[in-house]
Amino acid sequence: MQSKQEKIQAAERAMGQKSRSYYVDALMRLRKNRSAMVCLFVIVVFIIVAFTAQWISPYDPYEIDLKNMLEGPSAEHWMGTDEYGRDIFSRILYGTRISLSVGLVSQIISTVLGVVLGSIAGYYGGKIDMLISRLMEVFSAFPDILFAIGIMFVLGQGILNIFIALGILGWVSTARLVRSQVLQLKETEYIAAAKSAGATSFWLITRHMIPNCVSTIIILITMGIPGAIMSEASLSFLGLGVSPPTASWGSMINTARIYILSDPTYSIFPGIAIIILVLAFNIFGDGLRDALDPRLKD
Amino acid sequence: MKEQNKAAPLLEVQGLKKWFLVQKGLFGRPNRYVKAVNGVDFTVGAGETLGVVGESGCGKSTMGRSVMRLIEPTEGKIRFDGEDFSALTPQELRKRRSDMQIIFQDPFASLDPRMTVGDIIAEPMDIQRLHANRSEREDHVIELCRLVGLDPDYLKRYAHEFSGGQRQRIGIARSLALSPKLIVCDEPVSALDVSIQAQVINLMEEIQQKRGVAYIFISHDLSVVKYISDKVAVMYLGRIVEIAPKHSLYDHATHPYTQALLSAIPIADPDSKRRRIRLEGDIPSPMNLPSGCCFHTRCPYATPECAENEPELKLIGKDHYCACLHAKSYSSADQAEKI
Repeated sequence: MQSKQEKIQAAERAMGQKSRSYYVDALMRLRKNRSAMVCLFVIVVFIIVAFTAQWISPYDPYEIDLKNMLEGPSAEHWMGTDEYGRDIFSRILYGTRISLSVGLVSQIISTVLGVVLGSIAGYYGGKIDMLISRLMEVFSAFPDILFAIGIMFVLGQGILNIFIALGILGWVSTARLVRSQVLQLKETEYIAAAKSAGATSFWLITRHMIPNCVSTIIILITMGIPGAIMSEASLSFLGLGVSPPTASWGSMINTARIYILSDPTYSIFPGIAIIILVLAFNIFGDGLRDALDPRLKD
Repeated sequence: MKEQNKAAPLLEVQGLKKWFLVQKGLFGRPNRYVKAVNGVDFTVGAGETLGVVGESGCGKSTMGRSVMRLIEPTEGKIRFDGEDFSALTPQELRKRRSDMQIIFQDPFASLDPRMTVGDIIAEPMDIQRLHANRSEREDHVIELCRLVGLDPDYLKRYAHEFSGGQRQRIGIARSLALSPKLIVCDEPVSALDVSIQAQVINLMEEIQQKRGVAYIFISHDLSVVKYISDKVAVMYLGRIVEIAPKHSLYDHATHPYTQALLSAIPIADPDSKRRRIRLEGDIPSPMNLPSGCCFHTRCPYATPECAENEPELKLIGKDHYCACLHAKSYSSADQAEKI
């Protein structure tokens, strides 16, 4: 009885033991990286804007005001108005929603696809690997934007289809990386140890392979988001993105193109918004990679 | 030492082979294989330690892993604990795996960096669903920690926070989690400092006495093997060339390869006169095995017939087998020089 009590105490002490896990370690390194933290702050601001756009935007982004068409920045309209007199600032705030959701959702789709297919290809090898690898080659043989245009052309306009198109576009790089990591991990001794205890393939993949790929996957996601945001902007610029009344940075630049000489600020502001968000994600992704990359670890 | 086990050994391996395909035969050319393990027979009794020695690349590790079916052997029969281990289906094998565990050489690569030490030790229990509730599991982990001399306070830490010796203790605790009857130790101390080696070896002996577990102890360090083993097998190019109880092997080394290996053990006495047998040339490629006796290309005593006839393991003393055409039997009284 006494020893049982002792054991429980030991276990409790063990639970309370402070340990610097891998991720805590990484977080501490990330916090020391000032530019990454600034970018994280910028990203958080954009996310807050996306959620609160309906309350913080000074005007309704769809309200047409034909008396004030194509005006430059002024006290009432900070970034001016567009060809229907709609407030550009409000439209940019609403556009944050599209950009962020496209970035996030398409990355979730491509990550899930990539991780599942990549780990299956790497783990099982043989014919399955052959099949998936050839599929990856077929997908990467097409230029990205052309491929997205093709899918959008087939599926039609709309935000949901953008998610799908960009999600399908992105899985190849994730799958390729996960596959190569799994190939490496498959040979490690801790996998052999788990196998010798009778672990199933499912156990090995979910308990060892994927957790050991997580840092790579996180990096891929943060690096993939700006790419997806750019692609959405490009698609919308080409008129294949979200349908017209919805405010999207890409489609705003597309319409502003016509007025570039008479009203240059119209195209500049959504462009700046894209630059800031994409840059923030890229620099933050770099910082995250430095923090998570085990090779840089002492 | 453990004669009573001779009737039914715990593990009996017959004609074990593992060939790795390196090149598919094209246009009728035959497939090319690396013959890592090429026909190995041995037995291990319960609670016994079989030492396996040989140069790197001689197939020791592959042998250890094929016995466990971590690598599927190409050919051969494995009888384990009265059961045909080589005939188990994958499902049956998964359940029976608890009786055979493995300790690895590299204490850095053999522990998952993303898991806490407690989870690493408990993983085999979780895989086999050994415990229904968490407190039972916790108790078991703490008991194993005590057994291997780890402080249970450190269970929530990660493997990278430990030294090599401590990591090897974690590996040993993990291998004991399912109370196996046999543990394959794949060079468990080669990566450790000499002082730590002694600690780990003593720990393994202690565990053997407490738990009655049998070891297959793979190493290239002859003095470590001499210390821990009951029986020693010498491997060369995927074959066992000599296998004997420890004392017979070290006192009556018969195979020229064993003699050469033994003569290479350093002696901590500058004045001692030892006859060092130097082997000429390199170990032949296991893709292209020499004809006849696989050792004849480097053997100082080779005769033309060595290149033609393949020697079988033959009994030359009490439990002492040697695969050499020129090996002569000896009786324990006979101390005459061999060959």
